[in-house]
Amino acid sequence: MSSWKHPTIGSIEPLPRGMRPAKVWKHFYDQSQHWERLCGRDVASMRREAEAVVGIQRDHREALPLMDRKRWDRTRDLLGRHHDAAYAPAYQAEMASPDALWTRTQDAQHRHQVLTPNAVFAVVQVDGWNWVVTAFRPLPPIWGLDWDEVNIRRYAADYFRKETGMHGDNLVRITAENLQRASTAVPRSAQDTWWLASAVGYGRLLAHHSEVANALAAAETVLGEAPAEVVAELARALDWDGCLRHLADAMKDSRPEEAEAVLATAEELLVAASVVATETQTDAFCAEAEALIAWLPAEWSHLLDRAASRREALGSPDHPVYRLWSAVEDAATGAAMRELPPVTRPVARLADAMIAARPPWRRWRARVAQLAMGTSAAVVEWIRSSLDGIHVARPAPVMGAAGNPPGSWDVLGRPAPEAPCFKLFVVDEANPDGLEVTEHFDLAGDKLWRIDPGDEAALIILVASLKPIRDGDLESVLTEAGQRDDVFVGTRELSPPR
Amino acid sequence: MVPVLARRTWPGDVIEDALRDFLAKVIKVPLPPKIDDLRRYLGRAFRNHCIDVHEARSRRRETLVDAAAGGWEPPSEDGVSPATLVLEAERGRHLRAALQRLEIADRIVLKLDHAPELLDDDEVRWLADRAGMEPATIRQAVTSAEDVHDLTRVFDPEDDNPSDPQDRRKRMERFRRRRARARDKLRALLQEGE
Repeated sequence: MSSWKHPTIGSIEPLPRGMRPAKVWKHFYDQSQHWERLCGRDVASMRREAEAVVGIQRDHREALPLMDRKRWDRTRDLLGRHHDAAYAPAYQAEMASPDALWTRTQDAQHRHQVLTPNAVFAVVQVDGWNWVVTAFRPLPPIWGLDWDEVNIRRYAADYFRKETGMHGDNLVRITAENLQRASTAVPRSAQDTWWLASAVGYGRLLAHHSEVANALAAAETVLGEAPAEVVAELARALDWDGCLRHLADAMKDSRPEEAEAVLATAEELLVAASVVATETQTDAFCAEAEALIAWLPAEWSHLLDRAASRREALGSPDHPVYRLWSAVEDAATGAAMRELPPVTRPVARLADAMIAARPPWRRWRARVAQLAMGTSAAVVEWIRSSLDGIHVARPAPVMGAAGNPPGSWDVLGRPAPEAPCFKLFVVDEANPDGLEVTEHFDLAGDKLWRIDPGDEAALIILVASLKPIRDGDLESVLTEAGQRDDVFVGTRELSPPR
Repeated sequence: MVPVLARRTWPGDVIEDALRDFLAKVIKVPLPPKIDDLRRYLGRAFRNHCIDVHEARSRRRETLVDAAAGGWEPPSEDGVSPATLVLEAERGRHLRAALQRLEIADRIVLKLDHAPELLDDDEVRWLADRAGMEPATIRQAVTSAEDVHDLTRVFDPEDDNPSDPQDRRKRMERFRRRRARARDKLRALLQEGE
């Protein structure tokens, strides 16, 4: 897979290998997202092929199930191929469009968002190198209704504006515009009614703004003229279950993008539902959503700001949207506080006894993270391949050795072909300031060092560049790396065999 | 590992069942190789297992909890990026600093609600002075509190009837408003520090 170069952000890698299966399964095979319209491939056949390997139907199962190692390997390979052949070329071509809308600045999580002309919403993590972390086509939370490209683009444009630029004034202006647009004709279908219900729902929340109040009156009149059957059809089609499934899956994810997306969708759902659905339904949804949101992890505490600004912008304490965002605020505050070191701990927790504390050499990872990294993709790839190749060698069985305590283990490795200039260091409990093992890292694949079974893990730091790096200890090598723009540093943690 | 919010809102047996099944799985099913950060991985796996159990209980989907015992979440092949670790460490520092700058009453409200084990000696003494009790009694009351209502009685020792539903509702509402104010102040301090 090749990267694509944005004129100001720089090279952007596709989804990392580890994230591809989940995103392909969730988004690319989602029939309502209609990726076949963008990639020109028979996505339905690809989905069926994947279902045969995974062992379940994709419909209503947006997350891959847990599976044994053998099945997982086959799944990862197949979905990875579908990513490379169809999904990635489609989202990369879309992102490369001159008409794609990019956020001008990174958000607090060091990310850019982009909306493409054909309604692909993608998020790019800017993190040493830049890489796509999600790419999907936003859709209203409705099931059983198929959306044409015009409506998909319309929804995606709103979604992008809300996700990237929403504060009080914008929200008022967008709501007034949506009210005017939705009131031009009496709705004749559930889709038309969606636009009107959504606009009226937001309008009621912001009716204290004169700009909105004027447009709201006209929209309420049109809503009153809508045939009861299309309003009822929309109420039936609101995808409460789908939204909760998506929320549960998102809370299980390792990154926050799916949670951000489903919370935005849940807000849309609650706003539209406040116009066409019953209070019982919204109450049941909120109770279930609160139970799931409680698990929000500490790493996502940035959602506190998002939730607070949405709650403040949409403000009515009696509205379910207020309840939704308050739950996020509570969970985000609680999650962040749980991570603080406890002051009193009467008895050791079982988890602490079972799982060792984070290793002291984390400072080196933090140090590496602060380096500016601008070098060729070839060097980056070389570092990844070389680090991947380093492994612990198990000693051959020895007669009569059964029951003896294990000694230390050899760690072996050789550089990937076409090596640039490099230096290799190991940081472990015995060498907290770093041990240089560059001279052993050669094509012979010799022993680099020995890892002790008692060690929690060791950190391997590989520094590579196009021009030679001066000799010195780890500190001075990283200092030099920080002053040059052709140096790239990769790290890997290695644990002794269990 | 279990958020206070989940302990408070989920039926106790769901968490207990989930923990028992999870420990059995840790013993029976070998963990995948190449896990970068075991603590983070197991934390996430346990959270995911709890959500699966909860979903299976609510019958919203036929989550294959039994089948799930056959496998583990694939560990992230790309690891947690160094920048993410730096960002998390920074966020932790900001939070600690912001909490220290909060007035003691605000700090106590937030800790009581989200992480009572974080109450330090000064804060316990503040609660003890307010209630006219010994600090050890306050610690005991915090440890033995069964729900938020019990914790609100530690913070707000007003003489109301804990078994009167209306009194309980009023007390909880008062505490929720107090907590929201404290949270807003904390967020303002966090934004100042950015």
